[in-house]
Amino acid sequence: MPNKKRRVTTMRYSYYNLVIKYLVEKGLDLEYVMPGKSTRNTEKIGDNLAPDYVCTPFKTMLGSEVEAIERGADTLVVPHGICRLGYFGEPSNNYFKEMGYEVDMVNLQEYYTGRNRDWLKLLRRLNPHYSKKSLAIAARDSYKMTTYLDEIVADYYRDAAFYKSRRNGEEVLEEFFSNMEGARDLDSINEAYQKAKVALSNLPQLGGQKRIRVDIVGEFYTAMDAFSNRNVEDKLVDLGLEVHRDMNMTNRMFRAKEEKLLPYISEYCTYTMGPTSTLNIYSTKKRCEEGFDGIIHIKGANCTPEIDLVPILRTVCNDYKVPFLTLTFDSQVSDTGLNTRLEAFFDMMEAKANRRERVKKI
Amino acid sequence: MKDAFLGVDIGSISTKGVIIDEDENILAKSYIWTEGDPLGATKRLLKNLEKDFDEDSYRVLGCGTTGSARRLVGSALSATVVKNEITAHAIGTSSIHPDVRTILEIGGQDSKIILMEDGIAVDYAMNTLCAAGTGAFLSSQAQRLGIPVEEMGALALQSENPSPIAARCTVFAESDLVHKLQVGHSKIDIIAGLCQAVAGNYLNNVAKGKKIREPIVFQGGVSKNQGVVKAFNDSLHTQVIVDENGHLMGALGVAILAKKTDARRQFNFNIQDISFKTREVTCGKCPNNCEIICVYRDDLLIDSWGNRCERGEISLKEKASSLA
Repeated sequence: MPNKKRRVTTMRYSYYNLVIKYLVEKGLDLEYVMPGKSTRNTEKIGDNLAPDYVCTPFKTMLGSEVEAIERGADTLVVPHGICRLGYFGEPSNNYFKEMGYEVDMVNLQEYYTGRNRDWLKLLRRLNPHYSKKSLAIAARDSYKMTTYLDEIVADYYRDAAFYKSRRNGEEVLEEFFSNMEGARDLDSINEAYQKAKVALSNLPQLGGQKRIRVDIVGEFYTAMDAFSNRNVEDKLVDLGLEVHRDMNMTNRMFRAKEEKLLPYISEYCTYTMGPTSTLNIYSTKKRCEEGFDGIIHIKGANCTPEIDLVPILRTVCNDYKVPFLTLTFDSQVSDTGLNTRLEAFFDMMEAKANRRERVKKI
Repeated sequence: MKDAFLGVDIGSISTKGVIIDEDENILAKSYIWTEGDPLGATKRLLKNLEKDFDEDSYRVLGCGTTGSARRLVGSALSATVVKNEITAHAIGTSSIHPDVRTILEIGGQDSKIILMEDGIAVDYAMNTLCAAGTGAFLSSQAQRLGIPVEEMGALALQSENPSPIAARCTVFAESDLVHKLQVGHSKIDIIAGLCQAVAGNYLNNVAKGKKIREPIVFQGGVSKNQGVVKAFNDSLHTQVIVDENGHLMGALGVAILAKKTDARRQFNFNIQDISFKTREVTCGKCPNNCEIICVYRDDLLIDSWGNRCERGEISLKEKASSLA
């Protein structure tokens, strides 16, 4: 494709598609086809194509990739090929071929070799004439954008239950996302961030009540992707909780250094158990020590590393006497069942917190 | 005139109701099959409760609902409390057994374990994605064997050599059961094996990793099955407590909650004569196709839910216009 810009797409991934778009368009001078928001139809496509016992994120991502290709992309970048010991990208490629999609699938797994020249090969494959300078700038900006997105979203969910008008908070968030989507350079990224940061901190809040705090940890995709976890954060806000989510891109990709995290959790785990385990155990222990009222662990069905993780998180929470809930999501999860579990978990945390207050007074 | 409170627990298989007085004594109780019609079952339930209830000396001032149809029935009854069944069971059970540490509960389609400390729930688990080893499993196997599910327990106790049945999955259990029948195991041994399988499946799945401490209360519809009770006693090496009113704990718990909250609204039994209808609307404003449930009382829309975003909200205006 010498004279035509590639039209690149990826799977839907929470709000991080805004970053991918920026990186692809500004850094590589290619067009980015924004995948649509995931819906039940997305899940259905994945369910129909993929084997039943593959993990749920694979199905959802596959569905959103199919939808994205249908929006006119000619190149699909697959970043999650590293899962299942590097096999994850292979079957997707076959599905697309069988369905007759003429799409160039770029499986990043092939480039995770640890050698820099392989990354250069990838860049040249995507755009032989890419500018090193633009890419370096866009990479720096994308890093900033990611940390800002995570920070503003974290601010929102921390306070959302306590805003006098939740709708006002939602509006700030919506405007922030749309500003980030339109961002042209670092200045506009900074500006969008500053604006949202100030707007959120200026929102009037209800005062007085004791806040019940909960932290979300879990699997890379399902814990971060609101569609996949059935908007669990919003549901928790509805219940009146201060919601934190330690599992986000910033924490996992930029801040989590194994050699720093492992010593803190050495009593529970001495080696890396999977892509998110060290950070999850670290966050759980840290939040328990900070006196959080509950820890919720979120995973997609059939995610092996996360299944291994559950007993350890349970042990940590048991040691600190902090309520722990693990939630498994697949396309069959019913809202009623999820609400029942969350409500019961809330009641449990509330009863415990009230008792603590009473004991303190005595 | 003394105050009383109503609690209704609408499960997948059975619907339970109690009316309690201010001291949490049960004034009236009823237990019937839901038969796939939660609203109809609730009406029949109210009829039963009304019969035993002394309307001249008591008035019902609060009403709570729990169970999987809590929201639907809650809006039909204008409930003052709508509470999840886990909390309701914990509260109901600890009102009768204040020192309880572990609640084992096996119902029609769900099973749960609740760990208690000093009268509050500190941990719980509920079966996910699979209903193996619940009441629905036992009743389908009873049907296959041609015996009423109520008699299973007594029959199981007669067995001296229960046949091991693979119970991890209902479908596999069924093929294993057929196989055992074909090679000549007696029905009695198979029934006892099924009861053991239910207990074993429960302990290995829902209760996995939970510290089961005494006193243990076993409840839910399946607790009426003596065979399963024995299987739990054998595997836990202790005696589990089965209450005569064990199946009513959810209803009792939510009645107690109705008493404890401040909301008061006089409950009227004539609700039996009002017609309730539900309608499912597919939103269709995006490919998510949310299924929105609308509840009508005498053709007036009184509540709706199921939408994931505001586009599917049945607006207050629409509600108001349907009420006008």
